[in-house]
Parts: sequence; structure tokens; C-alpha cells
Amino acid sequence: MSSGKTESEQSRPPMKRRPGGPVRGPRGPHNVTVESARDFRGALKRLLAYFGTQKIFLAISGFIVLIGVILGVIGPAVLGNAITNYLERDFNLTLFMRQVFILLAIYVSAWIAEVGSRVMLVKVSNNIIFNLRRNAFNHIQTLSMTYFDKEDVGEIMSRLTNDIEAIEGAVSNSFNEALRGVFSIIGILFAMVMLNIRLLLIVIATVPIMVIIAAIIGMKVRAAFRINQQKVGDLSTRIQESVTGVKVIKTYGREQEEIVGFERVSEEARDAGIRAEFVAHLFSPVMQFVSSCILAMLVGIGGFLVLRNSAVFSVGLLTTFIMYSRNFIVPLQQITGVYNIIQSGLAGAERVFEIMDTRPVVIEGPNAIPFRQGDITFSDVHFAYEKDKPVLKGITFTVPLGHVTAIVGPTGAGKTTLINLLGRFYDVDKGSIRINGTDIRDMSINTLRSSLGVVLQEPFFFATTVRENLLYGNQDATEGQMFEAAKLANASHFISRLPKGYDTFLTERGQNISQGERQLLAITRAILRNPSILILDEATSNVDSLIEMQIQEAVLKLMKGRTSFIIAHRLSTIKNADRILVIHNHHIIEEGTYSELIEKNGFYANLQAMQQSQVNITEDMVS
Amino acid sequence: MTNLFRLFAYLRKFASFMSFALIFLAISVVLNLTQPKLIEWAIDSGITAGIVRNLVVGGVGIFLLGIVGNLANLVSGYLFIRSGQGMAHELRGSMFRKVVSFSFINFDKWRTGELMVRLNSDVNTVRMFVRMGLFMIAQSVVMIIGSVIFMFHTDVRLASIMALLMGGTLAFSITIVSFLRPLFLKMRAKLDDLNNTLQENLAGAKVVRAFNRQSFEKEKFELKNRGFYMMAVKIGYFFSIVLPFMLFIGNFAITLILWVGGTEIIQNYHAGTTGFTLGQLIAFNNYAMMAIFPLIMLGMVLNFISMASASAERIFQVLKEKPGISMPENPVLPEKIRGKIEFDGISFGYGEGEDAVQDVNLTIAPGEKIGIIGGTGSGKSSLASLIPRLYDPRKGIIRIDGVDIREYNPIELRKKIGIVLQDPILFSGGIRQNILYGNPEGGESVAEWAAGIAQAMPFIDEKGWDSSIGERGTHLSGGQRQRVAIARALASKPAILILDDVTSSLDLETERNVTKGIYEKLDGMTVLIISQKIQTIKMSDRIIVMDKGRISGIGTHDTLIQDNEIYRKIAETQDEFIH
Ligand SMILES: Nc1ncnc2c1ncn2[C@@H]1O[C@H](COP(=O)(O)OP(=O)(O)O)[C@@H](O)[C@H]1O
Ligand SMILES: Nc1ncnc2c1ncn2[C@@H]1O[C@H](COP(=O)(O)OP(=O)(O)O)[C@@H](O)[C@H]1O
Ligand SMILES: [Mg+2]
Ligand SMILES: [Mg+2]
Repeated sequence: MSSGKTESEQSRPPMKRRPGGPVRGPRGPHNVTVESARDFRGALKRLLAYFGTQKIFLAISGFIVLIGVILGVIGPAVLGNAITNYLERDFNLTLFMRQVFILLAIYVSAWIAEVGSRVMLVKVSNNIIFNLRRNAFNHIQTLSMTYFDKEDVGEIMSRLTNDIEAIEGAVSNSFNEALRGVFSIIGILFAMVMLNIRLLLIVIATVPIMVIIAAIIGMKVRAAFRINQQKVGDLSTRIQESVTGVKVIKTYGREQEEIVGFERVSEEARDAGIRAEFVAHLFSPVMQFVSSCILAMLVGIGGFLVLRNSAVFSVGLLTTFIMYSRNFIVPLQQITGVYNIIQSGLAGAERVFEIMDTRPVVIEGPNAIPFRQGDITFSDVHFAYEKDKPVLKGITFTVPLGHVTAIVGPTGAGKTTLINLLGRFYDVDKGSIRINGTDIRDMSINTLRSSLGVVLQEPFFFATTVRENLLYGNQDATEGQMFEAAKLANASHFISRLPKGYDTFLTERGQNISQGERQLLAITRAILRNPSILILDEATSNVDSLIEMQIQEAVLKLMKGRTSFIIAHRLSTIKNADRILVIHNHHIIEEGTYSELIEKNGFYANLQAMQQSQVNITEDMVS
Repeated sequence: MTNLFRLFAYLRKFASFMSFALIFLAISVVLNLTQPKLIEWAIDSGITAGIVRNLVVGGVGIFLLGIVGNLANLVSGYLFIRSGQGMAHELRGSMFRKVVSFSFINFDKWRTGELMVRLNSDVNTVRMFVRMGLFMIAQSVVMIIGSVIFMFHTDVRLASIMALLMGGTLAFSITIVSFLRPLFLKMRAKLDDLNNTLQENLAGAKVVRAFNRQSFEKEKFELKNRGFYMMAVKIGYFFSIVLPFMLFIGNFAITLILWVGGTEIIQNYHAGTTGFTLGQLIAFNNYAMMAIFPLIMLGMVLNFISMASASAERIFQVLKEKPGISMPENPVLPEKIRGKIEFDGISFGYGEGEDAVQDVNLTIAPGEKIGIIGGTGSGKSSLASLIPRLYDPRKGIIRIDGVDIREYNPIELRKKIGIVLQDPILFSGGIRQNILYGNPEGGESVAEWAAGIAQAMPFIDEKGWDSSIGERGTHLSGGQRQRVAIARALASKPAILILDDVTSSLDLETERNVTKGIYEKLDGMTVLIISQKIQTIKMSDRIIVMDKGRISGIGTHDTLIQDNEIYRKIAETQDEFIH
């Protein structure tokens, strides 16, 4: 993110919340997240479903909590018994000691019970978090590139970390607390019923008030946490973008501006946080205030009742009642506190489920056929990333098995897009792509992609060793095959000069080798797959032409009998192709061998001629 | 722990907030404690004595206490929340400033995912500590001290037992903190791992799909996820045992007191002597119970302390990182740069391995147009990155306009140098905003001028100036990205322009037009163009041929063809451009 974003944020809402902004492609509707994830009860239900088989543990844990509560009640009773009976009256050391030991036994069991229930909860809650995270991640793996066109990496990351942390808080802390609160309230209510129904009514009368207050604050808390989690996501996006773009920031000396921009987003997150936390905090004092009102009423009204008829309402009774109603408040607060944590957890859950509700666009049919090598046919292919901005229109051509096809055309003509469609990173809008007569949409994606060796225009590497990066496409390759591939791609020379050779660690994206070297590695990685179809998308654009020639020869030899696509601008790279496709203005405007195209004297020939003449012009100019 | 104390330096700004928070908290606690007394009074002097007025006063008093006490609670809560969030904001700001001050060397070490954990999650842990932990510590300390005093007042011997137990618990707690901290550090490191894996998976989404490695990625993530899970469960189990243990210690103390005191009372009774009384025992027991609560609280605080101190350590790891490029003490402000560049005996390497640039001596005149060509990995990019001080050379001096570049203010210097890195990164947002990134005041005319030279106008006209280009510019084709990046550099109107092979994805015609524009329309601007294509650099005033980190030849196209073998070989492979 940059100053660019600062303005753009005002001009447009962040991408994922935009209802149909300019970025979404024509397949957008499929990738649109289902709105219902925004509903709380739904999120709660789905979260509960995650407890699944673990409900048993939960039940056991709850049972132990109950035992703990009972033991907690019995403990003081035994203590009181020991004091009143054996210390005050009997002075019997043996019996007294027995009571002491019983007490100790109770405390030990209470401890064990507590440990037991906690251990189970730790297991259950961590399992849930583990599963949630796994499912979200695994689901992302099924999503197609349209999803990544739309979502910021930082935002997705925030959902899988910050939001899941919020859920974790809810799951791990709330259950026991809530149970304890409920059990205590039941116990106290029971005791109060036994004492006096009429006084109980005073206490009960306030319950609806509490519930209403709780509901109102609860709603606010929910909304506040939603905003909070969103802001945290924005912050995360900002951090991710600044960190990945920090080199640009530095080369432009824009540190100060970037800091100012960051502080603004950070401030927003801070303020949203303060708001959410404060609204949640409201619960406790408000409830306590209501409890004060109850007490005031009990003292006032109760006292009045006692004064009027002390036979029915004794002072002792009132006192006990007041004590109980004070006790009543604590567990109630406990429950509302839990409610808060759950709210923030659910706000997180909504956002995680939004990921899981995103449906992949590129999907496999039920009767997918495995990939079979053969001719590749594009028939009347139309495609656009964004509605109404067509990139390809009516592309039709056939590549016979074993041919080397060069794709040329001005930048932005749609060469990479063509490859994107062949690899099913995106699906065509209209028309079809067939390999060996089978529409690739009816083909198993797995087998299709396994037979492709793609060198993407932007090489990407993982932060691990050179070796692991090379083996990324083919785990089964032997050491020898790897060396062989590296040699073919002319990479072995520079790899051997690296400090630890094949075991040298690459940093993020492979930033610690030169761009040209990255391309050599990418080619090695692709040919190591031993692919049926090799695709080189400007794969040698940053490599010097001496090496490029050698790679060219080696790779073409290797790919004999198989199909390859080469996208390149340097003529030397494409001259030897079996066929050249010229893409311009959304169409294939010419095709043929190099000499055919020159003979044709069309667009391509003109392009060549113009360059030649320009070379001459500039030569004149320079000299 | 020391890291936690260093955190307080950040809290200093909120010292007044925090003290008011504590004061209000005290008010609310005291008022809350007064409530039972008031109730007692209302019952005694109202009901029992039968005075209705006292009853009313009692009721109203309870009500008023409720209002004031809870208002105080509200205020104190707000202040705690503010301090926590405020400090989090400060910490994030400091870390961000640090990260932005990192030089390229630092980034060879830090990964995006782990920086994100530190800026997000670790700051959050610290915030929770400020919000809850400090308050709990204060409360439990006060309660413990209070109850200990009362206990000693009642009975020294039993109090000693209690004090011993509590002291033991305290020592135990501190040991636990120091035991837990490394565990939390490990857990956080696992979170780093998890996040790095995630970040990489998302950033490399296309490669993952191209190589059909989703299941491998799932396994990889599963492993990291499980690693994190194991640590979390381990720590969770630990706390499952320790927290109730604190409660048990308290209850155990009560039992112990009962045993010791009770036995004595019974023995005294049988021996007919006087001494410890039942009343004292009961009073003592009450105080002991009072001490239990803070003990439990201490258990929870432990959690916060160990977590926060682990996170604090990680935050300070970022803050302590030394930027690889140092700021001079009396930086020279580069006012008007003419663009003369001198390399004087420059050698530079990235640490291990051979130097990437070796013994380079070169003087570039102001306004000169230089082309650089050479083998893959021959040090072209490395050489270029030394000019704006993205790295410092290991040996030698680089001067711009006769001044050692280490004497300039690096930030100001870089503003005068437009370098387009080989792997150009754009920011999400519109095209206009990206082009004007280095010169936001430039406005329409500058953006159009820059886009014009960079040959970006055709596709901008098609897409619109404000169309969103996606994260890192992913909605553009490679060549479009390169042109936006070139325009961005031009728009900042630098004195020195460096293009590091960023016309590689342009078709030949466009590329030719770009270089032509740059060579012809930028009078007085020193320009260095790195390229693999003879065509692109052919019209340079001078061409530098790099080979294995050294300059192998300098000259014009014609002279180099004559006497530089490397240049001639490269040219031969591209001979269709030179007939
Ligand atoms: N992910 C995307 N979202 C929206 N537009 C895109 C995306 N990728 C490419 N485009 C646009 O589609 C057109 C063709 O791009 P591409 O196929 O990458 O061109 P090239 O021929 O240079 O490889 C360009 O105008 C580009 O801006
Ligand atoms: N960040 C880095 N860390 C370590 N080594 C690097 C780094 N960047 C480049 N190198 C190494 O330095 C040498 C020169 O790289 P570079 O200057 O990028 O070459 P090029 O001439 O292709 O631009 C290469 O061998 C490369 O592997
Ligand atoms: Mg492309
Ligand atoms: Mg380079």
C-alpha cells in the first residue's frame, strides 16, 4: 500500500466489500461470498458443528464442572461442620482430624476435577482451532486465481490468524465459565425459592431489565467487534503491502509518507478497538448498577415488609436474601462476560466462514477424464478478466502434437492470458480449449496440470533451499535428473557458485539471487517435471542472449515429440518455432512460420521492418 | 522480564491515564466494599430499630453508591482500554518506522509473515497485558499485602505459616514465569512459521496451482499448524494444572490453619490452659480466604506475564535490529544534483561467496546516457543498487557530484535518484496514484508526461487512470507493470535515472520507443539503462560490459564490437537487429 492506497480508500471501499466494483471478473458471481455468513446465528451454528465428535469431551468436561461446583459448595459446609461441631462443642481431636482430612480430600478432588475439565477443554478448543485453520487453508487451495485477484493477501492472513485467535478466545474461555455461571444461578435460585417466593419476585422482576440491557449492549458489542475485526484486517493488509513493497518505498524516499499512512490505519484500528472493548466493558458496571438497584429495592421494599409484618418477613430472612441476591450478580456477570467473548469470537468466525463460503470457479466435472497427450485446439475462445473489458475474442487455432508454437504480440495483447486459459488458471467465457479432442473442462485438473511445465512470467520461489525449490514440481526426481535439468537450463553453473550450492537457502521470493538466475531456476524447475506440454512465458527475458541461445537449443531438443509454447519478444528466441501466432487487438491476426510471415508482408513483417529501419535511423542519429 | 520493563517506557506516555485509571478503580472498589456496610446499617438502624427514614436513606444511599461506584468503574475501564490500545498503536508505529528504516540487507533476514505476526499478534498480547494484567497485578498485590498484615496482627505463628505458603507460591509463580517464557517464545515462533507458510502460499498461489502442489501445500501447512497446536496444547495443559493448583494451595492453607489452630484449641481445652481462641481461628480463616483470591488471580496473571514478556522480547528484536545503512551525523542535503557519478575502487558482496561487484572504477558525466550489458549474474543490478545506497560497498567510495554518497542524507539522496528495480513492485490502487507515488504533488501534467515517455498511454487510455491494478499490480500484464514502474520513476523527476532491465517484457517496438524517449527527451538527466538487448542500449553515449562482477569493457557500440569479445558474442546472437 502506498499513498496510492490512501486516496483510493476514499474513492472506493476495500475490495472484498465492494458490491460489484470494477475489479470483479465476469465469473465474479461465483466467487462472491455468500452473504449469509454475515448472520450470527449461522456462524454460531457452524462453529458449534466444529465441536462435532468432541461434544463427548465437552459433556464430560461439563459434568466435571458440575462436580467441581458441588464440591465447592460441600467444602465450606464441611469446614463449618468441623468448626461448629468438633471445635466448639465436642473437642474431640480424632473426629476433628477426620473432618480435616475429609476437607483435604474434598479440596484435592476439587483440584483434580478442575484439572480434568480444563485439560479436556484445552484439547477440545485447540482441536477446533486446528481444524478451522486447516479447513480454511485447505479451502483456499481449491480456489482459483480470480479469488487472489480480488482478495488482499494481508486480509486473508488476518482472517486465518487474528480472527481465528478471537475464536480461540471464545472457545477456550467461555464454556466452563458459562456453565459455572449457570450452575451457580440455578443453585442460588433454588435456595431462594426455598426461602421465600415473594422476595424472590423482586429479584426476578429485574431479570427482564437485565436481559434487555444485555441484549442492547450485546447488539452494540457485536457490531463493534465486527468493525474492529475489519479494521484489524485492514491493518494487516497495510502491513503486508508495505513490507512487500518496502524496497519501492525506500528507493523513492517515501518513508515519512508511508509512516503517516500507516499511523492513520493503525489509529483507526486503535479507535475501533477502544470502541469495541469499551462497549463490551459496559456490561460489568451496568449490571452492577442494576444489582445495586435490586439491593436498594430489597432494602427499601423488603424493609418495609419486615416493618409491617415481621412474623412473615423476619430480619434474618431479609439479610439472607440480600446475601443471596448479591451472590446472584456474580454469576450473571460471569455469563455476560462470556457473552462478550463469544461475540468477538463470532465476529471472527463470520470472517473465517466467508472464506469457506467462497466457491471455486475452476472446478472439475464429476466424470473428469485423465489428460491424454494430443493436438491442442482453441476454438472461438473469448475471455475477459473484467466484465466488458474483453482480452481475447474468438481465438481459434490448432497446435499439432509435437509442435513448437511461438506466441508474439504487443505487451498486454493477451499472450499470458492464453496460457492462463490453457493451464485452467481461469476458464474461458465462451468457446472451448481441447486437448486430444477433450475439452479441458472435462479433464481432471490434476492430470492436466501435472502434464504442464510452466515457467510463469513472474518467477516465484519459496523460502527454502534451491534443491527443494527445484524439486517442487517433481518430488520423485533423482539427484541426477536434477543436475541434468539444471545443466540443460544453464543453471548449474551459477548454482555451483552459490555458497552452499544446491543447499543454499533462497530468501522470500528468491530475492537473494539475480533476476536472470531466478529465470534459469524457474526453467530448471519446469523441465524437471518432464512435462508433456512446456510453456515458457518470457522465461528468458532477463537472461543474456548467449545463455538464452543455449537454453533454447537444449530445451527444444528435450521437448522433441512433445508440445511447447514460447512467448518471447527477442526474435532469436522464436525464429525456429514451427509456427508463430501473432496476437493483436484481442485476435490472432496472423499465423505461420517465420519465413511465411515475412513473405506475407503483414503485421509481423511490418513490425520487423520497422525495427530494422529504426535501427538504421538511430545509427545515423548516434553517429 | 527485562523486556516487559522496557515496555513500560512506552507506557510512560500513558502514565497519567494509568494513574487515573487506578484511582478510579480504587474509588469503585472502595464504594463497592462500602455497600455491605450500608446494607448492614440500613438493616440495623432502619428495620431492627424501626426507623423508616433510615431505611429510605439506606436504600437511596445504596442506589447512589451504585451510580458513583459504577461510573468510576466505567471511567477506569475506559482509561485502561485506552492505555492498552494507545500503547499498542505506539508499538506498532515504532515497529513500522523500524521496518521502513530497514535496508535491503535486513530484508534478506526478515520474512513478511513473521513481521506481520509481530506487528499484529504480539502487539495484541502486550495490549492484553496492559489492559488486564497490570490491573490484576496491582489488585492482587494490594490484597495480599493487606491480608498478610491482618493475619500477622491476629496470630504471628499461623501468619508465618500462611506467609511461608504464600511466599512459596509467589516464588513458585516466578519460577513458572521463567519456565513458561521460553515455551511461549517457542509457540510464537511456531506462529511465525505458520504465518510465513501461509503468506508464501498466498503470494505464490499461481505457482502452487501451476505445479499442482495443493496437496503438498496442505501437508506443509498441516505440519506447521500441528506444530503450533502441539505447543498451544502443551502450554494449555500446563496451565490446566497450575491454575487450579493455586486455588488448591489456598484451600490447603485453610485446612492447615484449621488443623494447627484446631488441634491447639482442643489440646488447650483438654489441658485446661488458655491460648489461641476459636474467634481468632475464624477471623484468621477469613483473612486466609481473602488471600486465596489474589492467589488465583496471580495464576491468571502468570499467563499474561509470560505471554507478554515473550511477545515483548519479539517486538524488541525488531526494534533492536540495526539498519544496514547508517545515517551520517551531519548529512549533506543534496540540493541540486547534476548527476556526476564516480565509482572509486568499488567492491561489494552479499556476505558469503564471491563479491558480486569487484574493483569497479568508473566516472559518469552529468547528463550522460549509459548502457550496461553483461552475463546473467554478472553484477549489473548489484552495481546499480549501490548508487542510491540500497547497499553500501565493502570497499571503495562512490561519489555523486564529487561528494561521498555516505555523507548525503540517504532519504533525500534517493529522492533525486529514480531507480526502477528489476522486479518492479506496484501498490494496489489506481494507475495514477502509482505513477505519482514519488511525486504526489506532480499532478496531471507530470503523470501524463511520464506515462507518455514510458509508452503507457495506450493502455491507460483503455483502462482509465484510476482503474485498480490489484495487489502488487497483478491486474496488469508484465509489460504494463514495467511501464507503470518506469513512468513512476520518471514522474519523480530524478537527476539520475536507473532502469534495471525493466523493458524486458515490452515488445520490440514499444521498447524502442521507450528507450528513444528516454535518450532524447531527458536532456541533462544522467541515465543508466541495464538491458540484455543490444538494440536497447546501442545508442547510449557509452556502454559498459560487465563480466563476473568486473567491468570488461567501456565504449560505444562500434568500438566494443571491435575490441570486446563478450560484447561481440552477445551482438552476434542478436545479429538480426544489426543486420
Ligand atoms: N488478473 C487480471 N485482472 C484484470 N486484468 C488483467 C489481469 N491479468 C491481465 N489483465 C489484462 O489483460 C490484458 C492481457 O494481459 P496479458 O495476457 O498478461 O498480456 P501479455 O500479452 O503482455 O502477456 C492486459 O490488458 C492486462 O491488463
Ligand atoms: N540479495 C542477495 N543476496 C545474496 N546474493 C545476491 C543477492 N542479490 C544478488 N546476489 C548474487 O550476486 C550476483 C550478482 O547479481 P546481480 O547483480 O543481480 O546480477 P545481474 O547482473 O544479473 O543483475 C549473483 O551471483 C547473485 O546470485
Ligand atoms: Mg505476459
Ligand atoms: Mg539484474
